[in-house]
Amino acid sequence: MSQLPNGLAAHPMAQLENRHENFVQPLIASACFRLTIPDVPSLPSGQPDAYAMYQQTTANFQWLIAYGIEHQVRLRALGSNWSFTKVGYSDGGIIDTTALQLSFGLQASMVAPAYPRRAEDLWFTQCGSTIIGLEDRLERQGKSLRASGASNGQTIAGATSTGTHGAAFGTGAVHDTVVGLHLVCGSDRHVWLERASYPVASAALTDWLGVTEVLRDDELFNAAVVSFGSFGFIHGMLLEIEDKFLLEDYSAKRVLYDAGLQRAMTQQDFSGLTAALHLPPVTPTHWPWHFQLIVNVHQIDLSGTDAERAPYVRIYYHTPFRPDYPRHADPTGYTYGDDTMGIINVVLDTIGNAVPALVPALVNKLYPIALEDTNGTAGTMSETFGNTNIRGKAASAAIGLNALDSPRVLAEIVALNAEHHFPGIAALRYVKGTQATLGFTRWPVTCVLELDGIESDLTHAFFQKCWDRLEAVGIPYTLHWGKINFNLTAPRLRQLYGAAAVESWLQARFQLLPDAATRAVFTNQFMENCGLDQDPAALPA
Amino acid sequence: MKQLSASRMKGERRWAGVLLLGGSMLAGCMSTRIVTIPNDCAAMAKDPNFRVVRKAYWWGLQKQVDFDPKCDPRSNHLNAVEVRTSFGQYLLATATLGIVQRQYLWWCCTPYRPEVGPIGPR
Repeated sequence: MSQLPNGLAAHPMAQLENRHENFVQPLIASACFRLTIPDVPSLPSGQPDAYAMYQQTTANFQWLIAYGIEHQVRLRALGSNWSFTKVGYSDGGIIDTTALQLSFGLQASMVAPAYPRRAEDLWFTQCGSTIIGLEDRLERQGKSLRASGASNGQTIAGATSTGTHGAAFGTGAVHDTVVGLHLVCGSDRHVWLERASYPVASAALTDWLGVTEVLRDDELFNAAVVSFGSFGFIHGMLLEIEDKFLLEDYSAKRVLYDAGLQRAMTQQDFSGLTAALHLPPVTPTHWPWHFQLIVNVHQIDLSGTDAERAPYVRIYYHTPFRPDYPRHADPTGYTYGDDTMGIINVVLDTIGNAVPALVPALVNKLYPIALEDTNGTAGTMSETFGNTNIRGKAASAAIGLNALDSPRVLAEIVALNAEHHFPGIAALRYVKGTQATLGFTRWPVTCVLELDGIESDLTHAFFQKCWDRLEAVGIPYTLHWGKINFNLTAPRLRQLYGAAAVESWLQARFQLLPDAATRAVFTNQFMENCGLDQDPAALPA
Repeated sequence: MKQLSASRMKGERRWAGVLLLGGSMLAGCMSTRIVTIPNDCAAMAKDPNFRVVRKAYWWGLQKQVDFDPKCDPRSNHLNAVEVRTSFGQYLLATATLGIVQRQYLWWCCTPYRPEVGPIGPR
């Protein structure tokens, strides 16, 4: 291979396993590359030349597309490799973007006059920035990201492209804080994309980026913002941020599953939890922001009479930052080993069906590990959504539901568990609905029912039974793109999202990648399974 | 009685199978991780380009020279290191009475994040 451009290096891998060890993807080793911030001379002031670094990286992305077309090889940019599915993978080459972590604020002249907020509420970042890296940078400057997943090691492009969410029922998922995208969608084409209804970039910013086109279009943006890397390479993103805030923890390990809790689940009306969680009054600067439950489906009493068999409930209040606050304790002592779940996996797959009492006993023993004792503490975004405590062979599925359906679905899952024991626990997190065309948080308030367990045949069988049960009883649902979702097929995708939404997404992809050879570079097996590799029924004008 | 014995033997074989299978599928039996900032890596999880096998011979009297992770010189900070001994490596050391020892070494560098901005028109 001839000499590679500045900021691009060969990164050979014959295969790559995902973080949670659910699969190993064979790759074409010679088609794997690593992008870094190019080494360019500093400015006369001694400052790094962000412009030269960024421009060269755009050129590197274009080089990669030309390489993919010339060699007829599929490529996909990958972030931290946290997904449980192959949604962001390629069976050709993987492009490691984790070193692309240039990020910066914007001067007022870079912002569209019609933008309704302040320039200091915007932050531009390259695709590879980790959530923790952005949080660290922003919090030192008195600012905060507006949303995060439950932990913060994902890259920003990886998190947004797969729909990573927290439980911010009034804010939304991470991708709902994205207001502009710099997409490299051809060897000679790269575009700035934002909503027409929400202008944000001035001509000065799009000139700085050097884009070949500026597209202001709601449908295009809403399709591209959750597109798993299939609309080209996302080089940069513009995020909305806000002044630094604290999240105050009001939680209890057992809250009676009564009408008050169910009202919180369906309406986000927390008046019935005031006594149980010692909730303070809501004020304009102190209000509930995050709501979640953790449920041991083997123990919960849905009649709401047994206080010992009740779910864990947590509400975070959003409040302005102050320097004196009761911090989370640092973890100490022992935790489970990296191979613990692997051992349990072997045991379950070998004798799990033969010893029915094994699964509930195991879950009841491990359930307390999932419950953190954080009531009364507070933290910034980076302190609150820090470490993932899931290591080793884990399996996780997340089902999107209308929050109104969440008590009924929980009852269905508990009933199902009585027939087929689930080697894991459930969590219910509530997220504001998204505008993203294929965003799985699609109801005004979406309940994300997470089923977190050991990677095993029993776990996968339980996931399948859950999805089947929801369809049998006629409850609409969606599936998290980055979590286990092996029942997604082309007909089912249209059933879950509606044919119009799928068609709109396909049209947007076709519009951004009109050349078949380029579309082929950004197609993968997962998309073929879901019918998302197809051309739209009606081609865009 | 004969039937009971056969059933018991079958059960014992099953447990032995579980133990054997479990042991052989263990990726590692001991790992130690040192982390400065959790999750703050310029590397994908499980990237084989950031993992090597380190070797030592003769009870550690002969070992490889110090390892250079080649972090980006513009930041040049190592963020995390994990040393892991797999079951196979443990067996190798046992079988050779400690003469041949191997360990996995995984590392990740802190990303280079140039401090710029806020940016304005050129």
